[in-house]
Amino acid sequence: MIRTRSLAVVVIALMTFAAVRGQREPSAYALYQRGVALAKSGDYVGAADKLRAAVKANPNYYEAQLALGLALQNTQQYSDALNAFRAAIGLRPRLADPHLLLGGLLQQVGDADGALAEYTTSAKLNPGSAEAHSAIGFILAARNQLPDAIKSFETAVRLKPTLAQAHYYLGTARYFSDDPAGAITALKQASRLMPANGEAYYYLGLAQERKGDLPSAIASLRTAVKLSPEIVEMRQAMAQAYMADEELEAAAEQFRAVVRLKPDFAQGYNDLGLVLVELRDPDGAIAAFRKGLALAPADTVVKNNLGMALIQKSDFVAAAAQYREIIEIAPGDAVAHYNLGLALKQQDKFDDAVIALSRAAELQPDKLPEIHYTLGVVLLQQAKLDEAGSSFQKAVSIKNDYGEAIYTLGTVRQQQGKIDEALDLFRTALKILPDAPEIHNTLGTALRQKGDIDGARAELQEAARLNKLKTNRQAATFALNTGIANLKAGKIDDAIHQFQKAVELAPENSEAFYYLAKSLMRKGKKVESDTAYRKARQLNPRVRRL
Amino acid sequence: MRELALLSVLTIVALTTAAQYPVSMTNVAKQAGLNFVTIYGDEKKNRYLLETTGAGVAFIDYDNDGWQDLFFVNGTRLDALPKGLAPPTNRLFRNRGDGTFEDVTAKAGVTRTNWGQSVSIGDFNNDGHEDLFVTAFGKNALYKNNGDGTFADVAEKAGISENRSKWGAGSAFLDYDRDGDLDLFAASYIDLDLKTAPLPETGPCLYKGITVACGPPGLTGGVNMLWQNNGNGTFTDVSEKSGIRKTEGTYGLGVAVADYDNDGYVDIYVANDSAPAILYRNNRNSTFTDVALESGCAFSADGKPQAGMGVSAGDYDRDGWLDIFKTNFAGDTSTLYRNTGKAVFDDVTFSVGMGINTRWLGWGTSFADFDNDGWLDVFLVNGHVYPEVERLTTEAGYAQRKVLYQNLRNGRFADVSMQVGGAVIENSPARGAAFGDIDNDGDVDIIINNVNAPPELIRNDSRSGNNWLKIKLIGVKSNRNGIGARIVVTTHDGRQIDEVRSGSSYFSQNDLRVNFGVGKSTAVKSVEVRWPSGRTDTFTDVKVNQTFMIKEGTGEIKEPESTNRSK
Repeated sequence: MIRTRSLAVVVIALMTFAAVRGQREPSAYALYQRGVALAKSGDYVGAADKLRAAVKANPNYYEAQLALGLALQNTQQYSDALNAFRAAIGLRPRLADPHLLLGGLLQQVGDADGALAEYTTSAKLNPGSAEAHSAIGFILAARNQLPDAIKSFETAVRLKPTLAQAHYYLGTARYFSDDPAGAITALKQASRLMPANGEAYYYLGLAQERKGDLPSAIASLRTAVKLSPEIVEMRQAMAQAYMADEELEAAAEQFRAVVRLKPDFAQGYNDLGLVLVELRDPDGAIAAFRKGLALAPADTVVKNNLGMALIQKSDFVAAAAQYREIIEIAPGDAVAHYNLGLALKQQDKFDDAVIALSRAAELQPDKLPEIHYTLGVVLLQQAKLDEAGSSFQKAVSIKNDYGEAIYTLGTVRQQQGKIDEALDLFRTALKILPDAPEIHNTLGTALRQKGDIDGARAELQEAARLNKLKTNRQAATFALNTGIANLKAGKIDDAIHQFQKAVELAPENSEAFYYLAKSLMRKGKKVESDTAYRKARQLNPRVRRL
Repeated sequence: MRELALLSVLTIVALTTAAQYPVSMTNVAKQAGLNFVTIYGDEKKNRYLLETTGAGVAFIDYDNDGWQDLFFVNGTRLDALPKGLAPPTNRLFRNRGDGTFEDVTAKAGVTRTNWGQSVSIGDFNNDGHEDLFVTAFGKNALYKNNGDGTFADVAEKAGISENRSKWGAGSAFLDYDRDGDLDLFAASYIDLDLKTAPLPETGPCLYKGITVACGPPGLTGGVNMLWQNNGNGTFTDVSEKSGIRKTEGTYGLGVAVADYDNDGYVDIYVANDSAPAILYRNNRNSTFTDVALESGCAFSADGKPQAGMGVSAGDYDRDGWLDIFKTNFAGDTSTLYRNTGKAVFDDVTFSVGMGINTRWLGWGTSFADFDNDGWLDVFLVNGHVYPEVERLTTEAGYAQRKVLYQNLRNGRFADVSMQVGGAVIENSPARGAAFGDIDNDGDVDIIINNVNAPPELIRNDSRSGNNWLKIKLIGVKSNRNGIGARIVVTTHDGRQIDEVRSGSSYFSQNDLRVNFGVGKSTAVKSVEVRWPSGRTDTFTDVKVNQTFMIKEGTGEIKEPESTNRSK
């Protein structure tokens, strides 16, 4: 993508250069002048005819040979073009430019070794040629010799700081060398020098995302998509960045654009489906996965995802059927067995669920602790406390910070009357999940069972505090959303009331303060609005302007 | 050794496998004349939870003829009713004693159209006639039984009507101060203001991807109420001073009043929706303390609040302590809390075999000995909260079947719903359910109040051949119904306890007569009644298969003439 454009730039520059330095012999010169004019107007066929006539009239006419080579290259007459360039080199062997052009042609026809040799000769003949160093870097980069490529690009940009492509190549090479900071510097320069080039912004965005600067990454990728709205990869990167920023609606919009641009792109539908699952739109997700499967019917990953969306929709029967299909295709797919077990569990088909989950556990005895955890839950529901305990233990042995499994194992021990063991497990789980009210509750109950009434009370109070926080957050969300609806309906006083309620319930909620500020502004209460906005900004420095 | 081990396993399997459950259950509502539909919110899409909670149903012998009559609470709709549809109303049906009922609603003066919720029965003025208390979103009703087949709503005068925005939920009469008259408790669900409450779309409130009514989490919880009976037809709100308002839990629904710590004073258990349950321990000085957290009956076994709906108290393991069964939301199990003594509970749901049902969304429920073998079974009725779930093709559905757990007499239960079949496995959008002997044949029948559907009257026809003893109490120093009295029945195979209880299940009222199955015992060794007044009456060698009517301090009395009327 980038390579073609780079060569075109060089070609036009050199043709102009050749035109200026043209000879003065009347007939050959006139032919040459006409050929260059036709080439400039885009008529390379006509140009090649005139230039061929020019070199026929004067075989030692170096500029005409060179221009002929370029015209032939543009009409895909590569063999004749090679001859023309070589003839030009024969006429002026000490000039660097013909080697550079020949290298470009060889690169174009797939002779990377030949190209590298010509670029190297060109650089030797003219060590100050930034273009030659850049071209060498390009070949080296294509061969994954990134450190050497970077050196060449660095030389190129030192020699010619305005050479945008070299900055761009340097940036991408640094990005692929896991040097996002260096990549950002080069790509920023590249995007400044060629502000209409979406690719520079695209890689800049990728580098910024890798460096952890998500807001800048989103801004860069947004520019890239704006400049090159038809490039699927950019839309995908944009969508991924939005997902990382939890802007799921925006991510879905990009994924929708991806499949619109590339309707036969199965992976695109899968990505769209996944984000719709996150958005709790199982119907949309199911439709997307089904389209993906129509394109790739045997793709078990997409089938698994479809099953997941069906589970989200509570269509457990269809989900189970989906997983059974996967198992037909891939009997060793532990995840499919696991998900089948999950779908069966949801239908209260516990015996069948145990079979499926046990099979998953056999296939992945030492991985995927969720399998053992879920098996434990089903066994617990069947009153098989010992077996459930073993499964939870297995899950914990695979993942020793699996708080949920440790705590559930504690509840099993508690029900078995093994209170000391339960206490240890609850305390361990709390180290992993300190804000889980249910663990404080069960610990409190176990302490009470041991006669530690004060300890029990403290844990139960902590649980109550955490539960209250959770409830308040939910109430704040209701108030916030109701307020937004009021604001849209022009009921400003009602909106203010709801936003005030929201900030009272959840003083850490930046959105609530933002909307409170907005509604107060609409009410004309600027001072109060400013105070609320400052608070919103303090809680979230990225909060949008009023 | 190996053979012995195998034998042990087989024995355990045999012990824990359900035997044939010798009852059949048939819905006889239609032939009994219960041909009406309880109106409750929109049938397809609900804007507020108000439209979803449904209403209770009561067994009441309002005319003292010895036959259990039926009272159904009704709701209404947010939008205008379709043309031609009469305004929905509460309904009172008189039991003719022949398997049919007469609609006496208008005659009895209990017609009312509003968002009715629960019903509980108690003779609050001790005049010998059972009165009705009906909670509502809005004003409560206290229907004083005039003793002539009519009622008068005296809620305003009695001081318990409450205001329009109050959402009264489960309720019960109880004599918490043991002064001989019945006080009144009402849970409260949500402090709901329809003008400001979020709509499904503005919440936005989603259930499995579909928009549904919002709450209760996120909405302001209601405040429970306790009214002390002044003994003159009026009540005093003692919610604050009694400590009722000091609680961790809110969103109260079902209520079960019982003496959980065996101290002779009635306690109050409240099933809360999406919040820790409440156990108000009676401090024996007219105050209560919520001890649910430390008593182990506030949360599930894994320490999480559940969406409690209905609740029942009963001694399923016959250890002399009343246990608690609570119905919950779909995706969760119902919960069985075993009382290990002194009102300290263990959640034994999974270990007793009740962890196997998670698809149903439970409402009305009761411990009841349906086969009269002397061991309490458990029945629950189900139905989804949201009518919108019909769009989820494989959700258990809006209308759901019931569940019947057989007590295996070894501390475990077996789901025998499919085995019993019949009305048990018919789907219905159930809410309130009450349990009692509708045909006086000695086994426990069930009445169910469904949402936007006709009720179900499930007649239990037991083929067990087991004997029974039904006990009806008449208080003298204690309240007239003997509500709160502890009854201990001893037969050759041990003791059973129960109490006369107002309220419980989901928003409903069971038969105030207490039915004991006594298996093959041909006589009851002793019946002991510990009255709320503190008095104990004891009877020995009591005949089985009879309604044994006991007057406090007097002894056995003959049943009224009408109770002998054949069906």
